[in-house]
Amino acid sequence: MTCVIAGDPEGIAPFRACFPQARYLAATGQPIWHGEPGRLWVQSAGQVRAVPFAQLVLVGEARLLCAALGCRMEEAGPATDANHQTSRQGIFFLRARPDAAAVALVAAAIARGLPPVAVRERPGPNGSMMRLEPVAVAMLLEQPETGARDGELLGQVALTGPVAFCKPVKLAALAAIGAERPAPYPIQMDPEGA
Amino acid sequence: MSQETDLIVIGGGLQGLSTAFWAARGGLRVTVVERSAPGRHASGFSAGGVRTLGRALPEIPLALAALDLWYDLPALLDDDGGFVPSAQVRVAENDADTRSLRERVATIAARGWTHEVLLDEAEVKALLPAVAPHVVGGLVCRRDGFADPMRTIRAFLRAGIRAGVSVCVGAGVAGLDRVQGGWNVTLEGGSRLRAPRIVNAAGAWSGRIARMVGDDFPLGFNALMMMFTAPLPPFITQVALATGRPLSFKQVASGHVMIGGGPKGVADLDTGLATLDVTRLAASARTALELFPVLKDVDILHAWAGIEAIMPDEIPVIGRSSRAEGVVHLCGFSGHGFALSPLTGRIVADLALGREAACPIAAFSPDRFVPDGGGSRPAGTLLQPAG
Repeated sequence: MTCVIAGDPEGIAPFRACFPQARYLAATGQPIWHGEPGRLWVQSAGQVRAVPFAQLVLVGEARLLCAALGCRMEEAGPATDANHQTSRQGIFFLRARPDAAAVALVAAAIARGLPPVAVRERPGPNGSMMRLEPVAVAMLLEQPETGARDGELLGQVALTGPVAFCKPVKLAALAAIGAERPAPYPIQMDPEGA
Repeated sequence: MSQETDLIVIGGGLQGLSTAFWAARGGLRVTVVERSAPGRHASGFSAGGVRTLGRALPEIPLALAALDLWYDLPALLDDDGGFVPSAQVRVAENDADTRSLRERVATIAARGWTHEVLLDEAEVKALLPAVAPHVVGGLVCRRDGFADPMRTIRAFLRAGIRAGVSVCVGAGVAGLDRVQGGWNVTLEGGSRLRAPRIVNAAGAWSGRIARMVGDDFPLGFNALMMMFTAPLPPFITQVALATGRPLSFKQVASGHVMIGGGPKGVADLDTGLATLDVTRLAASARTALELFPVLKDVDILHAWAGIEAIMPDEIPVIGRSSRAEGVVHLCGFSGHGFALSPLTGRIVADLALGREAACPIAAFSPDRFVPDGGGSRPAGTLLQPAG
Protein backbone atom coordinates (compact mmCIF):
# COMPACT_ATOMS: atom_id res chain seq x y z
CA MET A 1 0.00 0.00 0.00
CA THR A 2 1.06 3.52 -0.72
CA CYS A 3 2.40 6.21 1.50
CA VAL A 4 0.83 9.48 0.34
CA ILE A 5 2.25 12.89 1.16
CA ALA A 6 -0.04 15.81 0.41
CA GLY A 7 -0.07 19.56 0.86
CA ASP A 8 1.31 22.67 -0.73
CA PRO A 9 4.43 21.99 -2.85
CA GLU A 10 6.71 23.90 -0.51
CA GLY A 11 5.49 21.98 2.53
CA ILE A 12 5.83 18.49 1.11
CA ALA A 13 9.22 19.04 -0.56
CA PRO A 14 11.33 18.15 2.54
CA PHE A 15 9.91 14.60 2.50
CA ARG A 16 11.14 13.72 -0.99
CA ALA A 17 14.61 12.62 0.08
CA CYS A 18 13.33 10.46 2.92
CA PHE A 19 10.33 9.00 1.06
CA PRO A 20 11.32 8.62 -2.60
CA GLN A 21 8.70 5.90 -3.16
CA ALA A 22 5.81 7.89 -1.73
CA ARG A 23 3.07 9.33 -3.86
CA TYR A 24 3.02 13.14 -3.72
CA LEU A 25 -0.18 15.15 -4.13
CA ALA A 26 0.46 18.84 -4.52
CA ALA A 27 -2.52 20.91 -3.49
CA THR A 28 -2.01 23.16 -6.49
CA GLY A 29 -2.30 20.43 -9.13
CA GLN A 30 -4.19 17.58 -7.47
CA PRO A 31 -6.40 19.00 -4.73
CA ILE A 32 -7.97 16.54 -2.34
CA TRP A 33 -11.71 17.25 -2.17
CA HIS A 34 -12.75 14.40 0.08
CA GLY A 35 -11.21 11.77 2.29
CA GLU A 36 -12.34 8.61 4.00
CA PRO A 37 -10.28 6.13 6.01
CA GLY A 38 -7.78 4.54 3.59
CA ARG A 39 -8.80 6.59 0.56
CA LEU A 40 -8.49 10.12 -0.74
CA TRP A 41 -10.49 11.65 -3.57
CA VAL A 42 -8.54 14.02 -5.81
CA GLN A 43 -9.47 16.18 -8.77
CA SER A 44 -7.15 17.01 -11.63
CA ALA A 45 -7.56 17.90 -15.30
CA GLY A 46 -11.33 17.81 -14.94
CA GLN A 47 -11.41 14.28 -13.60
CA VAL A 48 -11.86 12.75 -10.17
CA ARG A 49 -10.19 9.62 -8.92
CA ALA A 50 -9.58 7.73 -5.72
CA VAL A 51 -6.09 7.44 -4.24
CA PRO A 52 -5.72 4.68 -1.64
CA PHE A 53 -3.21 5.08 1.14
CA ALA A 54 -1.72 3.09 3.97
CA GLN A 55 0.11 6.04 5.49
CA LEU A 56 -0.77 9.67 4.91
CA VAL A 57 1.24 12.77 5.70
CA LEU A 58 -0.66 16.07 5.43
CA VAL A 59 1.19 19.38 5.47
CA GLY A 60 -0.53 22.73 5.82
CA GLU A 61 -4.22 23.55 6.04
CA ALA A 62 -6.02 20.19 6.21
CA ARG A 63 -8.35 20.48 9.16
CA LEU A 64 -11.55 19.57 7.32
CA LEU A 65 -9.79 16.66 5.66
CA CYS A 66 -8.47 15.42 9.00
CA ALA A 67 -11.98 15.59 10.42
CA ALA A 68 -13.29 13.64 7.43
CA LEU A 69 -10.63 11.00 8.05
CA GLY A 70 -11.87 10.57 11.60
CA CYS A 71 -8.95 12.26 13.37
CA ARG A 72 -9.74 13.66 16.80
CA MET A 73 -10.01 17.41 16.53
CA GLU A 74 -9.05 20.21 18.88
CA GLU A 75 -9.67 23.91 18.43
CA ALA A 76 -6.40 24.50 16.60
CA GLY A 77 -6.75 21.42 14.40
CA PRO A 78 -6.19 17.70 14.69
CA ALA A 79 -4.66 16.47 17.93
CA THR A 80 -1.18 15.08 17.26
CA ASP A 81 1.47 13.35 19.33
CA ALA A 82 5.19 14.12 19.49
CA ASN A 83 5.69 12.29 16.17
CA HIS A 84 3.04 14.45 14.48
CA GLN A 85 0.75 11.42 14.29
CA THR A 86 -2.96 12.13 14.66
CA SER A 87 -5.31 9.95 16.70
CA ARG A 88 -5.59 7.76 13.57
CA GLN A 89 -2.64 5.42 13.17
CA GLY A 90 -0.68 6.17 10.03
CA ILE A 91 -2.12 9.66 9.48
CA PHE A 92 0.31 12.50 10.22
CA PHE A 93 -0.36 16.22 10.24
CA LEU A 94 2.13 19.11 10.21
CA ARG A 95 0.88 22.68 10.22
CA ALA A 96 3.77 24.10 8.18
CA ARG A 97 6.84 23.12 6.16
CA PRO A 98 8.70 20.71 8.43
CA ASP A 99 12.37 20.90 9.36
CA ALA A 100 14.69 17.89 9.11
CA ALA A 101 13.99 16.79 12.67
CA ALA A 102 10.24 16.70 12.08
CA VAL A 103 10.69 14.71 8.87
CA ALA A 104 12.88 12.24 10.77
CA LEU A 105 10.25 11.79 13.49
CA VAL A 106 7.55 11.07 10.94
CA ALA A 107 9.84 8.69 9.04
CA ALA A 108 10.71 6.77 12.19
CA ALA A 109 7.07 6.50 13.27
CA ILE A 110 6.08 5.20 9.82
CA ALA A 111 9.01 2.77 9.63
CA ARG A 112 8.24 1.29 13.02
CA GLY A 113 4.47 1.41 12.66
CA LEU A 114 4.18 3.30 15.91
CA PRO A 115 0.65 3.56 17.26
CA PRO A 116 -0.47 7.09 18.06
CA VAL A 117 0.03 8.18 21.62
CA ALA A 118 -3.35 8.39 23.30
CA VAL A 119 -4.52 11.98 23.37
CA ARG A 120 -6.65 13.02 26.29
CA GLU A 121 -10.27 13.43 25.25
CA ARG A 122 -11.32 17.05 25.04
CA PRO A 123 -14.58 18.66 24.08
CA GLY A 124 -14.94 19.43 20.40
CA PRO A 125 -14.35 22.97 19.20
CA ASN A 126 -17.12 25.55 19.31
CA GLY A 127 -19.52 23.13 20.92
CA SER A 128 -22.02 25.86 21.74
CA MET A 129 -22.48 26.77 18.08
CA MET A 130 -25.89 26.60 16.47
CA ARG A 131 -26.43 23.86 13.96
CA LEU A 132 -26.68 25.13 10.41
CA GLU A 133 -29.00 24.07 7.63
CA PRO A 134 -27.13 22.21 4.87
CA VAL A 135 -27.45 25.18 2.51
CA ALA A 136 -25.75 27.39 5.10
CA VAL A 137 -22.93 24.85 5.34
CA ALA A 138 -22.68 24.93 1.55
CA MET A 139 -22.43 28.72 1.67
CA LEU A 140 -19.59 28.47 4.16
CA LEU A 141 -17.77 25.91 2.03
CA GLU A 142 -18.12 28.29 -0.90
CA GLN A 143 -16.14 30.99 0.89
CA PRO A 144 -12.35 31.26 0.60
CA GLU A 145 -10.48 28.99 2.99
CA THR A 146 -9.59 30.97 6.07
CA GLY A 147 -9.03 30.07 9.68
CA ALA A 148 -12.31 31.72 10.62
CA ARG A 149 -14.26 29.82 7.99
CA ASP A 150 -12.75 26.49 8.96
CA GLY A 151 -13.34 27.27 12.63
CA GLU A 152 -17.04 27.67 11.91
CA LEU A 153 -17.09 24.48 9.89
CA LEU A 154 -15.28 22.59 12.64
CA GLY A 155 -18.00 23.81 15.00
CA GLN A 156 -20.47 21.95 12.78
CA VAL A 157 -18.17 18.92 12.83
CA ALA A 158 -18.44 18.94 16.61
CA LEU A 159 -22.24 18.97 16.34
CA THR A 160 -22.91 16.53 13.55
CA GLY A 161 -19.70 14.83 12.42
CA PRO A 162 -17.37 15.42 9.47
CA VAL A 163 -18.32 18.08 6.93
CA ALA A 164 -17.93 17.22 3.25
CA PHE A 165 -16.44 18.24 0.92
CA CYS A 166 -13.06 19.67 1.83
CA LYS A 167 -12.95 21.45 -1.52
CA PRO A 168 -15.48 21.95 -4.34
CA VAL A 169 -15.60 19.22 -6.96
CA LYS A 170 -16.94 19.53 -10.50
CA LEU A 171 -20.35 17.89 -10.77
CA ALA A 172 -19.58 16.74 -14.31
CA ALA A 173 -16.31 15.14 -13.19
CA LEU A 174 -18.09 13.27 -10.44
CA ALA A 175 -20.91 12.28 -12.78
CA ALA A 176 -18.36 10.81 -15.17
CA ILE A 177 -17.53 8.03 -12.71
CA GLY A 178 -21.17 7.35 -11.81
CA ALA A 179 -23.09 4.27 -12.88
CA GLU A 180 -26.43 4.87 -14.59
CA ARG A 181 -28.37 2.63 -12.21
CA PRO A 182 -26.25 1.26 -9.37
CA ALA A 183 -27.69 -1.76 -7.60
CA PRO A 184 -29.80 -0.69 -4.62
CA TYR A 185 -27.85 -0.53 -1.41
CA PRO A 186 -29.36 -3.05 1.00
CA ILE A 187 -31.18 -1.97 4.13
CA GLN A 188 -28.78 -2.16 7.08
CA MET A 189 -30.04 -4.11 10.07
CA ASP A 190 -29.19 -3.44 13.69
CA PRO A 191 -26.72 -6.13 14.84
CA GLU A 192 -27.99 -5.56 18.37
CA GLY A 193 -31.36 -7.01 17.43
CA ALA A 194 -30.06 -9.91 15.34
CA MET B 1 -37.68 8.34 42.91
CA SER B 2 -39.21 8.82 39.47
CA GLN B 3 -40.40 12.09 38.08
CA GLU B 4 -44.06 11.75 37.04
CA THR B 5 -45.55 12.97 33.80
CA ASP B 6 -48.45 12.00 31.54
CA LEU B 7 -46.53 11.13 28.38
CA ILE B 8 -42.89 10.44 27.64
CA VAL B 9 -41.87 10.89 24.01
CA ILE B 10 -38.63 9.09 23.22
CA GLY B 11 -36.85 10.95 20.43
CA GLY B 12 -36.54 14.67 19.78
CA GLY B 13 -36.75 14.53 16.02
CA LEU B 14 -39.55 16.11 14.07
CA GLN B 15 -41.95 13.21 14.66
CA GLY B 16 -41.36 13.27 18.41
CA LEU B 17 -41.56 17.04 18.69
CA SER B 18 -44.76 17.17 16.64
CA THR B 19 -46.30 14.48 18.85
CA ALA B 20 -45.26 16.36 21.98
CA PHE B 21 -46.73 19.60 20.65
CA TRP B 22 -50.11 18.05 19.82
CA ALA B 23 -50.27 16.04 23.04
CA ALA B 24 -49.53 19.12 25.14
CA ARG B 25 -52.24 21.00 23.27
CA GLY B 26 -54.50 18.08 24.14
CA GLY B 27 -53.87 18.67 27.81
CA LEU B 28 -51.13 16.17 28.64
CA ARG B 29 -48.00 16.90 30.61
CA VAL B 30 -45.31 15.82 28.13
CA THR B 31 -41.61 15.15 28.48
CA VAL B 32 -39.42 14.55 25.43
CA VAL B 33 -36.20 12.63 26.04
CA GLU B 34 -33.58 13.04 23.33
CA ARG B 35 -30.25 11.24 23.44
CA SER B 36 -28.39 13.91 21.51
CA ALA B 37 -29.95 17.19 20.36
CA PRO B 38 -33.30 17.94 18.71
CA GLY B 39 -33.22 16.99 15.05
CA ARG B 40 -29.71 15.57 15.30
CA HIS B 41 -30.26 12.75 12.82
CA ALA B 42 -32.82 12.08 10.07
CA SER B 43 -35.00 15.14 10.72
CA GLY B 44 -32.13 17.59 10.54
CA PHE B 45 -30.61 16.00 7.44
CA SER B 46 -33.87 15.75 5.49
CA ALA B 47 -34.20 17.24 2.02
CA GLY B 48 -37.29 19.01 3.34
CA GLY B 49 -39.67 17.83 0.63
CA VAL B 50 -43.38 18.41 1.26
CA ARG B 51 -44.71 15.94 -1.23
CA THR B 52 -48.01 14.25 -1.94
CA LEU B 53 -46.70 13.05 -5.32
CA GLY B 54 -45.95 9.36 -5.67
CA ARG B 55 -46.89 8.37 -2.16
CA ALA B 56 -47.55 4.76 -1.29
CA LEU B 57 -51.31 4.29 -1.39
CA PRO B 58 -51.80 3.99 2.39
CA GLU B 59 -49.84 7.24 2.84
CA ILE B 60 -51.95 9.29 0.43
CA PRO B 61 -54.73 10.30 2.88
CA LEU B 62 -52.06 11.29 5.39
CA ALA B 63 -49.97 13.19 2.86
CA LEU B 64 -52.98 15.18 1.65
CA ALA B 65 -54.10 16.04 5.18
CA ALA B 66 -50.53 16.89 6.20
CA LEU B 67 -50.18 19.23 3.23
CA ASP B 68 -53.13 21.28 4.50
CA LEU B 69 -51.33 21.56 7.84
CA TRP B 70 -48.18 22.87 6.12
CA TYR B 71 -50.24 25.70 4.66
CA ASP B 72 -51.65 26.34 8.18
CA LEU B 73 -48.28 26.15 9.94
CA PRO B 74 -47.91 29.90 10.65
CA ALA B 75 -51.21 29.90 12.53
CA LEU B 76 -50.31 26.69 14.32
CA LEU B 77 -46.67 27.34 15.27
CA ASP B 78 -46.20 31.05 14.67
CA ASP B 79 -43.59 30.05 12.09
CA ASP B 80 -43.97 28.64 8.58
CA GLY B 81 -40.96 26.32 8.85
CA GLY B 82 -39.63 27.89 5.67
CA PHE B 83 -42.42 26.22 3.70
CA VAL B 84 -42.43 27.23 0.05
CA PRO B 85 -45.41 26.10 -2.04
CA SER B 86 -43.95 24.59 -5.18
CA ALA B 87 -45.14 21.95 -7.60
CA GLN B 88 -43.39 18.59 -7.50
CA VAL B 89 -42.90 17.08 -10.93
CA ARG B 90 -41.86 13.55 -11.78
CA VAL B 91 -40.39 13.36 -15.27
CA ALA B 92 -40.63 10.46 -17.69
CA GLU B 93 -37.47 9.74 -19.65
CA ASN B 94 -38.81 7.01 -21.93
CA ASP B 95 -41.92 5.04 -22.88
CA ALA B 96 -41.57 2.69 -19.92
CA ASP B 97 -41.57 5.65 -17.54
CA THR B 98 -44.62 7.11 -19.29
CA ARG B 99 -46.51 3.82 -18.96
CA SER B 100 -45.59 3.68 -15.29
CA LEU B 101 -46.93 7.20 -14.69
CA ARG B 102 -50.17 6.48 -16.59
CA GLU B 103 -50.70 3.32 -14.53
CA ARG B 104 -50.09 5.31 -11.39
CA VAL B 105 -52.71 7.92 -12.27
CA ALA B 106 -55.22 5.19 -13.14
CA THR B 107 -54.51 3.40 -9.86
CA ILE B 108 -55.09 6.42 -7.67
CA ALA B 109 -58.00 7.73 -9.77
CA ALA B 110 -59.77 4.43 -9.20
CA ARG B 111 -59.62 5.25 -5.48
CA GLY B 112 -60.92 8.78 -5.94
CA TRP B 113 -57.69 10.79 -5.83
CA THR B 114 -57.03 13.40 -8.48
CA HIS B 115 -54.09 15.33 -7.07
CA GLU B 116 -51.54 13.78 -9.45
CA VAL B 117 -51.92 15.07 -13.00
CA LEU B 118 -50.26 13.71 -16.14
CA LEU B 119 -48.23 16.09 -18.31
CA ASP B 120 -47.39 15.57 -21.96
CA GLU B 121 -43.98 16.46 -23.37
CA ALA B 122 -44.90 20.06 -24.21
CA GLU B 123 -46.46 20.62 -20.80
CA VAL B 124 -43.52 19.25 -18.84
CA LYS B 125 -41.07 21.31 -20.89
CA ALA B 126 -43.15 24.43 -20.39
CA LEU B 127 -43.10 23.78 -16.65
CA LEU B 128 -39.39 22.82 -16.54
CA PRO B 129 -37.66 24.76 -19.33
CA ALA B 130 -34.23 23.51 -18.26
CA VAL B 131 -35.09 19.83 -18.43
CA ALA B 132 -33.20 17.65 -20.91
CA PRO B 133 -34.55 17.20 -24.46
CA HIS B 134 -35.06 13.45 -24.02
CA VAL B 135 -37.79 13.93 -21.38
CA VAL B 136 -41.15 12.88 -22.85
CA GLY B 137 -43.71 13.61 -20.16
CA GLY B 138 -44.39 13.86 -16.49
CA LEU B 139 -46.66 13.85 -13.50
CA VAL B 140 -47.30 16.89 -11.32
CA CYS B 141 -48.75 17.76 -7.92
CA ARG B 142 -49.15 21.50 -8.01
CA ARG B 143 -49.91 22.13 -4.32
CA ASP B 144 -46.76 20.43 -2.97
CA GLY B 145 -43.69 22.28 -1.76
CA PHE B 146 -40.61 22.15 0.41
CA ALA B 147 -39.47 23.56 3.75
CA ASP B 148 -36.38 24.10 5.92
CA PRO B 149 -35.86 21.06 8.12
CA MET B 150 -33.97 22.71 11.01
CA ARG B 151 -36.30 25.70 11.00
CA THR B 152 -39.29 23.37 11.15
CA ILE B 153 -37.72 21.41 14.00
CA ARG B 154 -37.07 24.60 15.96
CA ALA B 155 -40.60 25.82 15.24
CA PHE B 156 -42.15 22.64 16.68
CA LEU B 157 -39.70 22.72 19.59
CA ARG B 158 -40.58 26.32 20.50
CA ALA B 159 -44.29 25.76 20.04
CA GLY B 160 -44.13 22.63 22.17
CA ILE B 161 -42.30 24.44 24.95
CA ARG B 162 -44.87 27.23 24.81
CA ALA B 163 -47.56 24.56 25.22
CA GLY B 164 -45.77 23.20 28.29
CA VAL B 165 -43.57 20.42 26.89
CA SER B 166 -40.37 19.61 28.82
CA VAL B 167 -37.42 18.60 26.67
CA CYS B 168 -34.48 16.66 28.13
CA VAL B 169 -31.47 16.66 25.80
CA GLY B 170 -28.46 14.39 26.19
CA ALA B 171 -30.91 11.94 27.72
CA GLY B 172 -30.58 8.50 26.16
CA VAL B 173 -32.90 5.75 27.33
CA ALA B 174 -31.13 2.95 29.20
CA GLY B 175 -34.16 0.93 30.22
CA LEU B 176 -37.94 0.71 30.16
CA ASP B 177 -39.80 -1.17 32.88
CA ARG B 178 -43.49 -1.91 33.13
CA VAL B 179 -44.80 -0.82 36.51
CA GLN B 180 -48.23 -0.48 38.03
CA GLY B 181 -50.08 2.09 35.96
CA GLY B 182 -47.40 2.77 33.40
CA TRP B 183 -43.73 2.77 32.60
CA ASN B 184 -40.51 3.67 34.31
CA VAL B 185 -37.98 5.14 31.90
CA THR B 186 -34.38 4.95 33.13
CA LEU B 187 -32.10 7.44 31.43
CA GLU B 188 -28.43 6.80 30.74
CA GLY B 189 -27.45 9.19 33.52
CA GLY B 190 -29.42 7.09 35.99
CA SER B 191 -32.39 9.41 36.54
CA ARG B 192 -35.91 8.08 36.09
CA LEU B 193 -39.15 9.27 34.63
CA ARG B 194 -42.53 7.65 35.01
CA ALA B 195 -45.63 7.94 32.84
CA PRO B 196 -48.66 5.89 31.89
CA ARG B 197 -47.90 6.38 28.20
CA ILE B 198 -44.82 6.28 25.99
CA VAL B 199 -44.35 7.23 22.35
CA ASN B 200 -41.45 5.58 20.58
CA ALA B 201 -40.20 8.16 18.05
CA ALA B 202 -36.53 7.30 18.24
CA GLY B 203 -35.93 7.22 14.48
CA ALA B 204 -33.39 4.63 13.39
CA TRP B 205 -33.00 3.61 17.05
CA SER B 206 -36.72 2.84 17.43
CA GLY B 207 -36.13 -0.89 16.98
CA ARG B 208 -34.04 -0.86 20.14
CA ILE B 209 -36.78 0.94 22.06
CA ALA B 210 -39.40 -1.45 20.69
CA ARG B 211 -37.42 -4.46 21.88
CA MET B 212 -37.19 -2.94 25.36
CA VAL B 213 -41.00 -3.14 25.63
CA GLY B 214 -41.24 -6.59 24.05
CA ASP B 215 -42.13 -5.54 20.49
CA ASP B 216 -40.17 -6.42 17.42
CA PHE B 217 -40.63 -5.25 13.85
CA PRO B 218 -38.09 -5.40 11.02
CA LEU B 219 -36.83 -1.85 11.31
CA GLY B 220 -33.59 -1.30 9.41
CA PHE B 221 -31.76 1.85 8.55
CA ASN B 222 -29.75 3.58 5.83
CA ALA B 223 -27.67 6.71 5.43
CA LEU B 224 -29.46 8.74 2.77
CA MET B 225 -27.11 11.13 0.99
CA MET B 226 -27.68 14.55 -0.54
CA MET B 227 -25.59 17.25 -2.19
CA PHE B 228 -25.66 21.00 -2.70
CA THR B 229 -24.08 22.64 -5.73
CA ALA B 230 -22.68 26.14 -5.95
CA PRO B 231 -25.35 28.75 -6.72
CA LEU B 232 -26.67 29.12 -10.26
CA PRO B 233 -28.98 31.69 -11.79
CA PRO B 234 -32.62 30.66 -11.22
CA PHE B 235 -33.68 27.91 -13.62
CA ILE B 236 -36.26 25.84 -11.72
CA THR B 237 -38.84 26.65 -9.06
CA GLN B 238 -40.37 23.17 -8.82
CA VAL B 239 -39.03 20.05 -7.16
CA ALA B 240 -38.15 17.55 -9.89
CA LEU B 241 -38.08 13.79 -9.49
CA ALA B 242 -37.16 11.02 -11.91
CA THR B 243 -39.27 7.94 -12.54
CA GLY B 244 -37.00 5.02 -13.40
CA ARG B 245 -34.08 6.03 -11.22
CA PRO B 246 -33.75 7.82 -7.92
CA LEU B 247 -33.54 11.60 -8.05
CA SER B 248 -34.97 14.52 -6.12
CA PHE B 249 -33.85 17.92 -7.34
CA LYS B 250 -34.60 21.49 -6.39
CA GLN B 251 -33.09 24.96 -6.47
CA VAL B 252 -33.40 26.99 -3.28
CA ALA B 253 -33.78 30.76 -3.07
CA SER B 254 -30.02 31.32 -2.81
CA GLY B 255 -29.51 29.57 -6.16
CA HIS B 256 -27.89 26.45 -4.70
CA VAL B 257 -29.24 23.21 -6.14
CA MET B 258 -30.02 20.27 -3.88
CA ILE B 259 -29.61 16.83 -5.37
CA GLY B 260 -30.84 13.80 -3.49
CA GLY B 261 -33.51 11.21 -3.75
CA GLY B 262 -32.03 8.01 -2.57
CA PRO B 263 -28.29 7.33 -2.92
CA LYS B 264 -27.14 5.65 0.25
CA GLY B 265 -23.97 5.74 2.28
CA VAL B 266 -23.16 3.63 5.30
CA ALA B 267 -24.63 4.33 8.72
CA ASP B 268 -23.40 3.28 12.14
CA LEU B 269 -26.08 3.20 14.83
CA ASP B 270 -23.57 2.95 17.65
CA THR B 271 -21.59 6.07 16.73
CA GLY B 272 -24.48 7.88 15.08
CA LEU B 273 -22.21 8.76 12.16
CA ALA B 274 -22.76 8.21 8.46
CA THR B 275 -20.07 7.66 5.84
CA LEU B 276 -20.58 8.99 2.32
CA ASP B 277 -20.31 6.60 -0.60
CA VAL B 278 -18.70 8.69 -3.32
CA THR B 279 -19.45 6.24 -6.12
CA ARG B 280 -23.17 6.37 -5.35
CA LEU B 281 -23.09 10.15 -5.07
CA ALA B 282 -21.51 10.05 -8.51
CA ALA B 283 -24.49 8.09 -9.86
CA SER B 284 -26.79 10.72 -8.42
CA ALA B 285 -24.70 13.48 -10.01
CA ARG B 286 -24.93 11.64 -13.33
CA THR B 287 -28.72 11.41 -13.16
CA ALA B 288 -28.97 15.10 -12.28
CA LEU B 289 -26.66 16.11 -15.11
CA GLU B 290 -28.45 13.95 -17.66
CA LEU B 291 -31.79 15.49 -16.71
CA PHE B 292 -30.55 19.06 -16.25
CA PRO B 293 -27.62 19.83 -18.59
CA VAL B 294 -27.46 23.34 -17.09
CA LEU B 295 -25.37 21.72 -14.33
CA LYS B 296 -22.45 20.91 -16.64
CA ASP B 297 -20.06 23.50 -15.27
CA VAL B 298 -21.19 23.75 -11.67
CA ASP B 299 -19.23 22.68 -8.58
CA ILE B 300 -20.59 20.52 -5.80
CA LEU B 301 -19.88 22.19 -2.49
CA HIS B 302 -21.45 20.02 0.15
CA ALA B 303 -22.62 16.46 0.63
CA TRP B 304 -24.15 14.91 3.72
CA ALA B 305 -26.04 11.89 4.93
CA GLY B 306 -28.62 11.32 7.63
CA ILE B 307 -29.45 8.05 9.30
CA GLU B 308 -33.00 7.12 8.42
CA ALA B 309 -35.13 4.28 9.73
CA ILE B 310 -36.27 2.03 6.89
CA MET B 311 -39.04 -0.58 6.85
CA PRO B 312 -39.00 -3.40 4.28
CA ASP B 313 -42.24 -2.09 2.73
CA GLU B 314 -41.02 1.53 2.94
CA ILE B 315 -44.04 2.80 4.86
CA PRO B 316 -43.89 3.84 8.52
CA VAL B 317 -44.90 2.18 11.74
CA ILE B 318 -47.74 4.15 13.35
CA GLY B 319 -49.86 2.55 16.00
CA ARG B 320 -50.36 1.25 19.49
CA SER B 321 -48.39 -1.72 20.64
CA SER B 322 -50.53 -4.82 20.95
CA ARG B 323 -48.24 -6.23 23.64
CA ALA B 324 -47.12 -3.27 25.70
CA GLU B 325 -50.04 -1.28 27.09
CA GLY B 326 -49.58 2.46 26.87
CA VAL B 327 -46.90 2.33 24.17
CA VAL B 328 -47.37 3.91 20.74
CA HIS B 329 -44.82 3.50 17.95
CA LEU B 330 -44.08 6.26 15.42
CA CYS B 331 -41.06 5.41 13.29
CA GLY B 332 -39.79 3.77 10.10
CA PHE B 333 -40.64 6.58 7.71
CA SER B 334 -38.11 5.22 5.23
CA GLY B 335 -36.77 8.58 4.16
CA HIS B 336 -40.02 10.40 3.49
CA GLY B 337 -41.54 11.29 6.84
CA PHE B 338 -40.72 14.99 6.87
CA ALA B 339 -43.83 16.04 4.97
CA LEU B 340 -46.10 13.87 7.10
CA SER B 341 -44.76 15.01 10.46
CA PRO B 342 -47.26 17.81 11.29
CA LEU B 343 -50.06 15.26 10.90
CA THR B 344 -48.47 12.04 12.16
CA GLY B 345 -47.60 13.76 15.43
CA ARG B 346 -51.25 14.71 15.81
CA ILE B 347 -52.40 11.16 15.02
CA VAL B 348 -50.08 9.68 17.61
CA ALA B 349 -51.01 12.30 20.19
CA ASP B 350 -54.63 11.27 19.64
CA LEU B 351 -53.71 7.62 20.18
CA ALA B 352 -51.85 8.53 23.36
CA LEU B 353 -54.92 10.48 24.52
CA GLY B 354 -57.07 7.38 24.00
CA ARG B 355 -58.77 8.74 20.90
CA GLU B 356 -59.02 7.15 17.50
CA ALA B 357 -56.79 8.34 14.67
CA ALA B 358 -58.34 10.90 12.36
CA CYS B 359 -56.83 9.14 9.32
CA PRO B 360 -56.67 5.44 8.42
CA ILE B 361 -53.53 3.88 9.93
CA ALA B 362 -54.21 0.14 9.82
CA ALA B 363 -51.62 -0.30 7.06
CA PHE B 364 -48.94 1.06 9.38
CA SER B 365 -49.58 -1.42 12.18
CA PRO B 366 -46.50 -2.39 14.20
CA ASP B 367 -47.75 -5.99 13.84
CA ARG B 368 -48.00 -6.06 10.07
CA PHE B 369 -44.92 -8.25 9.71
CA VAL B 370 -46.12 -10.75 12.28
CA PRO B 371 -47.00 -13.91 10.25
CA ASP B 372 -50.76 -13.47 10.66
CA GLY B 373 -50.57 -9.69 10.69
CA GLY B 374 -51.62 -9.48 7.04
CA GLY B 375 -48.77 -7.24 5.91
CA SER B 376 -47.67 -6.85 2.30
CA ARG B 377 -46.00 -4.22 0.15
CA PRO B 378 -48.57 -1.62 -0.81
CA ALA B 379 -49.61 -1.70 -4.45
CA GLY B 380 -49.22 1.16 -6.90
CA THR B 381 -46.15 2.61 -5.22
CA LEU B 382 -43.70 4.59 -7.30
CA LEU B 383 -40.06 5.04 -6.43
CA GLN B 384 -40.24 7.36 -3.43
CA PRO B 385 -37.38 9.79 -3.01
CA ALA B 386 -35.94 10.58 0.37
CA GLY B 387 -37.14 13.74 2.02
